[in-house]
Amino acid sequence: MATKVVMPKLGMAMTDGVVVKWLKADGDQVEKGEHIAVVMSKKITYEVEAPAPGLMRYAAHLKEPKPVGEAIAFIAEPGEAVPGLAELAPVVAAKAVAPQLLEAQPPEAAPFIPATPAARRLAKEHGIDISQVKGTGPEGRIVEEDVARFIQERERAPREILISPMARKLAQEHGLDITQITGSGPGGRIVEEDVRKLIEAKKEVPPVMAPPPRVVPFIGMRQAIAERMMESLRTMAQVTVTTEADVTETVRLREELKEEFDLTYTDIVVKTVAIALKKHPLLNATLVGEEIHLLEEANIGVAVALEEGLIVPVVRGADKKGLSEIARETKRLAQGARENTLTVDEVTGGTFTVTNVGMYEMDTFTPIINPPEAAILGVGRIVEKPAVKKGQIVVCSIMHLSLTFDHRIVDGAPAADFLRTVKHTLEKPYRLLG
Amino acid sequence: MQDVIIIGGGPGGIAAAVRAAQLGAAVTIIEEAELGGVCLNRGCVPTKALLASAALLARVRRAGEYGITVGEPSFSLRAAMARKDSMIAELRAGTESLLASYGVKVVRGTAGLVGPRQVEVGGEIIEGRAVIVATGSTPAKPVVDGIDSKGVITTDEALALEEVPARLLILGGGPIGVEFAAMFHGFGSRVTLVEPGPQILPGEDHEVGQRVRQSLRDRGIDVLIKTAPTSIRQQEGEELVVSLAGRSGEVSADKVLTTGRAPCLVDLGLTKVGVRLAGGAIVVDDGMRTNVPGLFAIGDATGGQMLSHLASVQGLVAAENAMGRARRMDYRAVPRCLHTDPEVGCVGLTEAQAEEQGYQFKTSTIPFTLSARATTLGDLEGAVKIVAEARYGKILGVHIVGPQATELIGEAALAIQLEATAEDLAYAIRAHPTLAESQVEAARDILGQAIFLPKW
Ligand SMILES: Cc1cc2nc3c(=O)[nH]c(=O)nc-3n(C[C@H](O)[C@H](O)[C@H](O)COP(=O)(O)OP(=O)(O)OC[C@H]3O[C@@H](n4cnc5c(N)ncnc54)[C@H](O)[C@@H]3O)c2cc1C
Repeated sequence: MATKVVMPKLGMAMTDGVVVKWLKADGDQVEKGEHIAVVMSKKITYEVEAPAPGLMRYAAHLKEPKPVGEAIAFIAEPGEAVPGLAELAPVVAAKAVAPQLLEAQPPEAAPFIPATPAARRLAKEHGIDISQVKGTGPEGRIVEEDVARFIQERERAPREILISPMARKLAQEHGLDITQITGSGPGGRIVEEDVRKLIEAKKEVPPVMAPPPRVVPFIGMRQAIAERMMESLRTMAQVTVTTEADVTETVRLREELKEEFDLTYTDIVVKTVAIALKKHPLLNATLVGEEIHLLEEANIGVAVALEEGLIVPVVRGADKKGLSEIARETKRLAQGARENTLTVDEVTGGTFTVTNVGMYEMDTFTPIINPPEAAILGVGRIVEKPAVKKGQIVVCSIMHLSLTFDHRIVDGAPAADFLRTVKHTLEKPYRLLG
Repeated sequence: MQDVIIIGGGPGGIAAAVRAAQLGAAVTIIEEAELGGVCLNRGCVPTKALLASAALLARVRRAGEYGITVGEPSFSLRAAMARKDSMIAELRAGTESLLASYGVKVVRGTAGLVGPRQVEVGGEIIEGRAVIVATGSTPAKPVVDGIDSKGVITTDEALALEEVPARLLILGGGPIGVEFAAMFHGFGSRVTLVEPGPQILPGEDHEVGQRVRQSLRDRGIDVLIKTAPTSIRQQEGEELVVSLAGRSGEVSADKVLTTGRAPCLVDLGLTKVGVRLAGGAIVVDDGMRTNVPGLFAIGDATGGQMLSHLASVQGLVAAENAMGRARRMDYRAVPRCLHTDPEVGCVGLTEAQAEEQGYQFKTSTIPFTLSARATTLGDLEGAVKIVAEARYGKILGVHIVGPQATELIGEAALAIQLEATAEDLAYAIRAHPTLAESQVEAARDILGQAIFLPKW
C-alpha cells in the first residue's frame, strides 16, 4: 500500500492549504524524513517530510487548495503503481483561488472614482456603475462625455442576457432588473419560472417602506474631501498612536496669556508641534517616488470645520513664529475660511496638520493624514481628572492626543518619540515662550 | 458491471441508450421482440406508411381537380402492407447499426428485475449502476361481453390484415382510433368510430374535436360519441353484431378494432423491488426516477400521454440523470399529432385547460380558407387556433387542423418552449404563400391586428 502524504494542520483555524513548492520531483525516490514539499496555510509555510521511503507521486497541483488531511502526495512501495497527477481529475479552479489564498490580501476597498458631478448624475440616471467608465478628464477624472459615450457603447453592444420573451415582459412589469436574475433554462436562459420565483420571494419579505432619503448633492467641497480622504487611505500605511498629556500648566499659561491676546489651545498645539517637528524631521516629510523628502519649513495646517466641509488653512513657518503671531494668523485664516476669502497659498503647502475636536467633547480618534504630509495630530478635549503626583491625589487637566503617521515614512518608535516630545512640551509649556 | 441497463428497445430505450453512451456509459439494452418497439414495428411507422397510401389514393381520386386525368385507381392492401414492411425492415436495420456504432450491447430476451439494479435475462444476471425500464405498452381490450370473439382485433393485427374489411367498427375515438378510421376508410372500408366520451380526440381542444369529427363525417365515416359497446356477438359467417349503450338497434361489422393500450409491466419484478405504481403505470418524478434509487422508467411504461417523441425525450433525461447529470422534463411543449387528412397538430394548453388552470386568456382562429397556399394546394379544410394568456400574450396552446399541421406545429412547440408571446409570433415574417403565414396571422389576431380577416 502506498503511504499518503496529507496536507498538515498547521494551526487551529487552518482548513486548507496549498503546496507552494515541490522539493522533490514527481516520481523521485525519497527517504523517510526527507523534505519533499513546502506547504502554506493562510498564515505560515511549512516543510513536509516524507513519512516513508519510496517513490513519490504528486497528488496535488501547485497552489491547488487542499483540505487539511487530504493527500498531497503518495509514496509508493517498490513495484507498486500509483496514479500520477495526469490521471487525477484536472483542477480547474486552482489558478483562480491560489493567489488569493497565498497572499491573504484584504479585499480591495471600493476605490473612490474621480468624476464630475454632471458625469455622476448622468451615470446615476442610466443606472451605470461609474467605476466601469473610463475617464478622459484631467488625471483620469470621468467627465459627462465619458458617461455619454459609455451609454452609447452599451446600447450598441450585443445584449448578452438570454431571456425568454415572456420572462422579459414579466420582469419589466414588476420592475425587476434582468441582469440580476439567474436563469435556469438551457444556457442560463432566464425563463418565466425564474422571474415568478423572484416575484414570489419579494412578496414573502415585504420590503420595509423606507421614506425616500433627503438628497444632498455630492459635489464641490464634499467631493473634494472624499477624493482626498480616499486617496490618503488608499496610498498610505496609516497608524494612529494616542497618549494623554497633563496640560495643567498649559491651561494656566493660556489663562495668563489670554489677558494679553486671544489664544486658543489649538494655537499652543500648533506652536508645540512646529517645534517638535524640528527635532523629529521624519514627521515633517513627504514621500516622493523613491525618496523621502525632509522638509525645511514647518507649515502647520489647521483644520477648520465649515458647514460644507473641512478646510485646512496653513500657518507657514510656525516654528519661527511666536504664540501671539500664530494666534493672530489662525484667527485670520479661520475667518477667511468662513468667509471663503482664502487664497490658494493660504490653503496649500502644509507639511503637518493639527485637527482639534476638543470642542466637540471628543477624546481620541484616528485622524486621516492630509496627503502628501506624513502625519497629523488630533487634539482631544481637556478634562479635569484626579491624578496621583508625589503620593498626593491632585486634580490635573488632561488632554488626549492622537497621532496618525505614515508607516511607510516613519516607524512606530520615532513617531512615538515625536508624540512624547509634544506631550512633554505641553506639560511644561513655558519653554514655548522662549 | 454495466453503467446503464435498459429494458426495452423502443424509441425511449434507444434514445436513452445512445445518450448514455454519448456520456461514456457502458450500456446494455435488452429487447424481447424487435428493436424499435411499438413505434417502429406496430405503431407510428406502419400506420404512417399505410396512411400515406390512403392519402395518395384519395389524392389520385381528386386528380381531375388538378387537371390530371387518371382512370379509377385500384388498391392492393397486400402491396401497401409489403411497402410498409420493407420500410420497417429498413429502419430496424438502421436502428441496429446506430446502436452498434455507439457500442451499445443488445441482448435478446425477456428481462426482469431481480434487484433494484440487477436484471435477469436468459438465466443470466446483469448488474448495472442504473436501470431504465422502457418496456412500453401493449394493446388492452375493454371488458365487454364477446370481446374475445374472432374478428375482434387489436392494432397489431389490423396492421397485418391481408384484406380490407368491408365493415370496420373502431372502439375508441382517440388518435389511434381516428387514424385507423381514416386509413381503412381510405382503403374502402365502411367505418364506424365509437367514442364513449363527449368528443372524439378526448383531451384535445373542443374545436379540434369538432373539426375532425366533421371532416370524418364529410368523408362518410360514422362517428358515434357518448356510447360504448355493451356486447359483441359473433354471427355465423364471421359477422360481428355490436350493441351500443343508449342506442336502439345494433351495428354489424366484419371486424371490430380495439385501440386501448396499457403499460407493459407484467413479470417485470417491479413489486419485488418495491417500485411505486399508480393506475397500472410506473410513477416517476420529473427526472424520470422511480421511488427506487438507481431505477428509472420512461415512455409508455409510465402511462400518461403515449407518444413516441415523448418516450425518446424522457429517455434522454433518464440517461443524463443516470449518468449523474441533472435534467428535468418540460412537458409544456409536447406536440400531439394525427397523420390523417386533414392532419392535426396540437401543442400546449387547450382552451378548457387554460380555463381550468385559471388563466385569463384570448383565443383566435384563422381558417385555412384565408390562406393562399392552402388554396393553391386545394386543401382548404381546417384552421389554426391560438390560445394566449391575456395579459402578456404568452402563447399557451396552438391547435392546427389542416394541411401539414404535423409539421407546422413544430414552430408553435418552439414558441411555447421559449415562452414566446403573441407579439413574437405576430411580428414574425413568413414566406408567401405558405401555410406558416396562417400561424402568424392567428397571432396577429390575438393582438387584434389580423390583416386578412375581414373587418365586420
Ligand atoms: C397504432 C399505433 C400508432 C401510433 N402512432 C404514433 C404516432 O404517430 N406518433 C407517436 O408519437 N406515437 C405513436 N404511437 C405511440 C408510440 O408507439 C409509443 O408511445 C412508443 O412506442 C412508446 O415507446 P416506448 O419506448 O415507451 O415503448 P415501446 O415502443 O412500446 O417499446 C417497448 C419495447 O420493450 C420491449 N419489452 C417489453 N417488455 C420487455 C421485457 N420484459 N424484456 C425485454 N423487452 C421488453 C417490447 O418488446 C418493446 O419493443 C402509436 C402507437 C400505436 C399502437
